Amino acid sequence: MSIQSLFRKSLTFTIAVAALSWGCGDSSTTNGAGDDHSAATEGATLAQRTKTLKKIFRAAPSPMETARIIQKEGLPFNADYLCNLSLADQDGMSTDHAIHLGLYGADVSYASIFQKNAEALQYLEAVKTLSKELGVGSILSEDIISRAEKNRANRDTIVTIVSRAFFDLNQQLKSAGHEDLSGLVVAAGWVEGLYLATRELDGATDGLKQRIAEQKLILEDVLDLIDSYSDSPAIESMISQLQPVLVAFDGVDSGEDAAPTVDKQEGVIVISGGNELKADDETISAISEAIALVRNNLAKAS
Amino acid sequence: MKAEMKYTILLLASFAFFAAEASSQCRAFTKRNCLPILEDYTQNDNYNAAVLIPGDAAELDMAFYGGVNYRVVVCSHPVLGAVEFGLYDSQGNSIWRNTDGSDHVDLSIENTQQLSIRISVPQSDAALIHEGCVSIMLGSKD
Repeated sequence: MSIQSLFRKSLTFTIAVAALSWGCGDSSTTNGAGDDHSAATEGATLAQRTKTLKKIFRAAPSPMETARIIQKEGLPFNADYLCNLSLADQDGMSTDHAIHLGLYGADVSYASIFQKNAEALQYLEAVKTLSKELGVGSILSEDIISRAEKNRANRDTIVTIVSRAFFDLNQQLKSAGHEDLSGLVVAAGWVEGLYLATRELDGATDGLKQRIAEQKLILEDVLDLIDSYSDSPAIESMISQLQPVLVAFDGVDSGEDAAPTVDKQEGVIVISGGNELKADDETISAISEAIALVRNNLAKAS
Repeated sequence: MKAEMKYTILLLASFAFFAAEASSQCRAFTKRNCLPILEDYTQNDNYNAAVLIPGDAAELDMAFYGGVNYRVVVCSHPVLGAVEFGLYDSQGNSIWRNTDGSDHVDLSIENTQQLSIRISVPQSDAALIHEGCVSIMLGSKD
């Protein structure tokens, strides 16, 4: 069989499978009764491969989750610690915009959780500006911003809008093949979240100190996530900048190995026990200083 | 030689089209079919979805905060059959499995810890192998 014939056959097969797949796929133009069909068939096509694989996903808790637990520990809100809004108007590379988007994502999460809705809306506008720069402006349409403004007194609505926007951002960046940018957003968001959590440590409760110590696990998640995109220079730079923070977390006491116990109560799986991470004041202070250096470097004017 | 190049370009373009189409369908599938299962839980920012085939496996490791209630959703296209998933602690001990075929589990966690979500797509003996979208969604609330 000649090479040309082999190509022809491969192409014919591909087109045939494409035609079959198209028939199985979603049609965005269907409506009414047609929606039932598309809902049942979208997300499935004839397989393009036969060899099985193991897909490893990487994820980390979102800044919104971190803000929620930090607020419960009595940390006060101080708008002075948030990033300068002028970052949104700076020229820069897409990696710079992604980092600033991550910083603002944590800021808007904190403002939302602390019900500082005027600040939350300002940072949401900044997120919109930066998302346009990254070509994913659709995550925050005028309608969504308008809905946020109308519901500015409703924390849950603002939290839902912010969470949905950052999920859509992550989805669109990954789907467009910009996993490195999505990784930078996550990493910068984590940096800003920990920065905000460690600004006022005088009189910090044991609960807050424990929450800071627990960030050792989250840092491991973040590093695992961005390390999978390490062929990007911006990711390499982020990993390098986080090394002193990783060293500062060495002082965290991981406690004795304690296997968690599992119980089921009213349909909920209750996981008790497990290791309790703790840190003394010296370690907390070292973490605070290390994260401030990274954060101030990421947030500086370019 | 020119003909070979033309066919190669067409072939690559066809595969690129497939990849883009599958990714787009997975996004739409996740939004329409998986997101609603989170109900009143606030969704995590991370989009974790992939197009899998029978026999594939997937895993997500992540820290879960103590004192927070979570909902873990594993949402898969029906063409893949009864997708199995389970939760494991950081030592690899099994915590829970969806033996009842459930597509989600609610968790209450005392201490912050690393958990692993492991997914396996059942084998199929069908003549035509389909691939389908599998999404892992995480939601939290007080």
